[in-house]
Amino acid sequence: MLKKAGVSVAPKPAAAEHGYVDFHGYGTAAGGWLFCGWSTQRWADDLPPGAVVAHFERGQLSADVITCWHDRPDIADRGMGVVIFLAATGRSLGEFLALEIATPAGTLRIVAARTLHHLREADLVGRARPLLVNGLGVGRSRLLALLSRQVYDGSSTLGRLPVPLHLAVDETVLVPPDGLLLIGWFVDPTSSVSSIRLRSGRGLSDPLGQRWIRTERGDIVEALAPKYGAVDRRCGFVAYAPASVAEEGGLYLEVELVNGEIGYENVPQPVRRGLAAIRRVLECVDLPPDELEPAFDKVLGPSLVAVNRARLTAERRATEITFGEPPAEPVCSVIIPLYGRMDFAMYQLALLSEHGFERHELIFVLDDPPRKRELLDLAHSAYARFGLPFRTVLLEENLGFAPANNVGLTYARGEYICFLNSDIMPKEPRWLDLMIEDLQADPTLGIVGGLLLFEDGTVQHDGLAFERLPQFGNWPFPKHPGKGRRLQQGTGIQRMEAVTGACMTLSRAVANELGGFDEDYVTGDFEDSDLCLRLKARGLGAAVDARAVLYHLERQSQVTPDRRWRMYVSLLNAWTHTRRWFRGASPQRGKEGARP
Amino acid sequence: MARKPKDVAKAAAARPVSRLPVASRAPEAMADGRELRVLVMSHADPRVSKGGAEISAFQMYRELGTRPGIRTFFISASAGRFSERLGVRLIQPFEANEYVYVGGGYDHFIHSNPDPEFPAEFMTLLRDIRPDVVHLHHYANFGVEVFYQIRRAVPEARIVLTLHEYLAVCNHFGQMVKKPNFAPCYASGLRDCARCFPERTEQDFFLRDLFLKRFFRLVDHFVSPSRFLAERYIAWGIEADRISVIENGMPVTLRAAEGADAYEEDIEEGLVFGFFGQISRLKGIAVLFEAADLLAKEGISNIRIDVHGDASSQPPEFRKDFEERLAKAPVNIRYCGPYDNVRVHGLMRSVHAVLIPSIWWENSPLVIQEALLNRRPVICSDIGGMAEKVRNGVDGFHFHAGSGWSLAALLKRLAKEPHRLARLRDGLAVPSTVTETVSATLALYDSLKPARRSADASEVAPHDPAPVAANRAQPGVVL
Repeated sequence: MLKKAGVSVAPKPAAAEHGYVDFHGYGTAAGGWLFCGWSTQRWADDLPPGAVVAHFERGQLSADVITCWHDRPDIADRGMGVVIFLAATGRSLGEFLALEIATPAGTLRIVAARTLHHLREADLVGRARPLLVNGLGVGRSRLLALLSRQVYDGSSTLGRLPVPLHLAVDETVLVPPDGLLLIGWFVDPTSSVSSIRLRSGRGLSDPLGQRWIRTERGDIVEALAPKYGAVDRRCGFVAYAPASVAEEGGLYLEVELVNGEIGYENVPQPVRRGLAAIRRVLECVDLPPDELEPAFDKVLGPSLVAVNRARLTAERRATEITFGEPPAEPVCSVIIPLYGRMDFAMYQLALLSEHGFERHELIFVLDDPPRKRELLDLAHSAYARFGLPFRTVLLEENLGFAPANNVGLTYARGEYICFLNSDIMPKEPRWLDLMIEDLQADPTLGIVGGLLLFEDGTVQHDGLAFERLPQFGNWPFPKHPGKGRRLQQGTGIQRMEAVTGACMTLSRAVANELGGFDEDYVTGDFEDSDLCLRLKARGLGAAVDARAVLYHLERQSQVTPDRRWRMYVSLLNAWTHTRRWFRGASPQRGKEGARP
Repeated sequence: MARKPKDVAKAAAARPVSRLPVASRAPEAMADGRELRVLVMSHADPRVSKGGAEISAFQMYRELGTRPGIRTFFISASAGRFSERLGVRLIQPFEANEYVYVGGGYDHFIHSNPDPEFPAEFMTLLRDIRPDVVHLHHYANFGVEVFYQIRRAVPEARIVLTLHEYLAVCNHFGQMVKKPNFAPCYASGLRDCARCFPERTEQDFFLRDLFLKRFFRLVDHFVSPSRFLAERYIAWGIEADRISVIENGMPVTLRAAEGADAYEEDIEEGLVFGFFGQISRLKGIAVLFEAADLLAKEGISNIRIDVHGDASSQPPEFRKDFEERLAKAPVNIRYCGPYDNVRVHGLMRSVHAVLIPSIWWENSPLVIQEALLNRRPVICSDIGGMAEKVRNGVDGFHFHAGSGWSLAALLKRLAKEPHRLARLRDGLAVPSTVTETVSATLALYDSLKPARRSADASEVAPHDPAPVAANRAQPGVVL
């Protein structure tokens, strides 16, 4: 906003005023506010950050300050001309009112002149530069350098800098609401860069180096090694700039050299979202154990949890199709999410039909929308063949293990809930009734799991116990004691720290109070342990009933490059799990029960 | 000497009770004078398909129908050989009480029939027919789920299954030979089976096993035509006391045969050995060529091998191999082409002994019964159903399965002493007849009802059929 034009006539300062600002404005290239006027008192050039506060109609700002003095013949001996630069963001706070300068001698007030001019950047630099050219003091050259900076015009200017420098952002991921993850590579052979920041609109992020993971980029090493000799293999990066994306305006990087010069680099707009974005980020990460914790604390954890939460805020549309007539008031609702192999559901129906399942209801939740046709054909055939009634809930989007189960929970009618994986097959007929009886018999028991066997009869799951893994940040992981071994004659019911979500039974009322599985865990692990720990926090224990025996086929993960990013998804979940339950003295969670 | 069907050796050891009384004790009507209603089911129809199992099933159905007080029904599966009628699954191209199921999509891995239209139509028919016994030969094409549909529709009916081949045990067409080398396989196992079928996982085979056994538990009793096959199924998981051995007998009318008898000629001049049946790799055709080559190289000229049969339904690679072998074959082996089954007796009488060089176990090959019927000794591999049905030195001679050298050596010895063969003719076993088979089967039906009811009350174990049995006490309750 340009105030009405007028000649600056220096008025006499009032008693409480120590000077006036004649014109001011925001310098985008310089990255701060410039105030030009005069002061009756001269203060030392080395003011500490925060010593100068600029007051506007709708707020104030305070930042690093550079001051430059110059002669003002029009004022003669009443004071000196001054140019004050505040390195702050350019968001609009309304009309400028005054500067307060804390000096050792007391606070000075430099107020807006009655005819204050708010100038556009070009005019601002044009009028300020002559003042600086004749200026005095240490701030002069720094300010001149700042004002000589080019404005970003949409193209990279790194090549114009006097040092060899390579910086590229391959992809960005929006971290809702206003954060940004940047994936790229950076080679600075002469260590000339002092900071890299993200600019968006008038916003300027903290230096990206504060939240920066180094990643391997063999391709870059190969391309640049002939030119520079050795190039750091880990010249790739994933950086996180929280709260830095403005609603309007493009994105670009501002690279500042040690000598104060700056260059710009383009930043692509974020495109990928949800799981695709999470995968893209985790695919380029490979961290040594000692770097895991800071990498997740500063970069991966907060950003990817936010990306995942945003993914799940959309309305969950689903269709229910029922086959046969399930009981109106079932004792237990068995919730089985389906993803990948639909034929497991056929096997389950065939096997469960053997001993009758009239008291309970089966709810298959299809979490694999492209397979809807396949599932419905199979369901139609299986009902005709086995006569066992069941419900199907068909999600329109792939949500993942926890949300798919939680959707199933909203359809459930039973007094109890059994969360069951589709690759679990009953070995004996009483498994579910036993688990329910256990819950009824012991009010201090919150959740019961089954004894799960591999196809060769060895133990797959006999309860979970936590074990800290030094190779993974020393975070506690739920382990399966006795897994792969012959059963050590365990009988009856055995208290455990937690039980697997592959087969767990609990009261529906309790499941609803807890809001089902916590959805911050991405694509299926740790949410079972988390659920048990939330129950434990309410004084309800977990146990395995070794009489309830089922087979668990535990799908073999394919040995593909796919595996590493999935491992990092597990690590992300482990990070969330550890922060919630194993850090410090207060493992209480803040968002219990709240469910988007 | 008639071979009386009796209990499997292992079963007999565990339960020294003869489950199968002699034929004269077999009931030919229900105790209350009501007729016995028997539904026979076959995976294929012998009027369009000539496999041994469907022929046995149909012969049994026909024979049962001749007995007073028995009402019979027959359902076969089309297996693609009958055209479908839109919107229905059971058609009647033959007689009023004979049905053909037309439907597709059969899953040969788990022997499951996903056809959603079949169960309701089949169960409606069952409720109309009200069989006291449903006797299935094979379960292919219907799917093992039919046992459950029978149990749901007619809970009182006894379910009897006659086993053919090792289908449930082995995914390799039920042959129990390894892939790809066709080596004999002694037992199924998740790891071994997945090795034969790398495209499947051990877990797939585990599910297959769970699935098949879940439905096999509904079968009241199993019938195996050979002891050997019964033992393989027992090793796989069927309780020994739920399986009996009853040979699939042949119709008596076939006993008369015409034509010249080779034994009327002078056997000192030389011996003719005949092969009869499908010309396939598993039937051991390569063993015959190998033996013929060895004999020719040794300059033995008083032995000839006649190969009767059809290779037209074999895979192209096999047919090519067969033709190449024929082109290079010595004069002591000749291919006589396919034959119609009505000619088999005459052809058998044109040879001195019948060769069965199969490299798989076999069950109870029909060709053994045909040979014995025509009083021809059998020269066979020393394994499985062949070794069981042909007593070495009594009904014929064994040679080492798969070994052309062993066969050549045996034939050479016999050519030197042809009277060793001729002498066997008086002591050859007399194959059982379908009359005997049906009498033994009726006795089995009769023994099942009380046995089953008492078992229902006492046994409660995981995967015990008790809940089904409990349901049977209240007809009309559908599980």
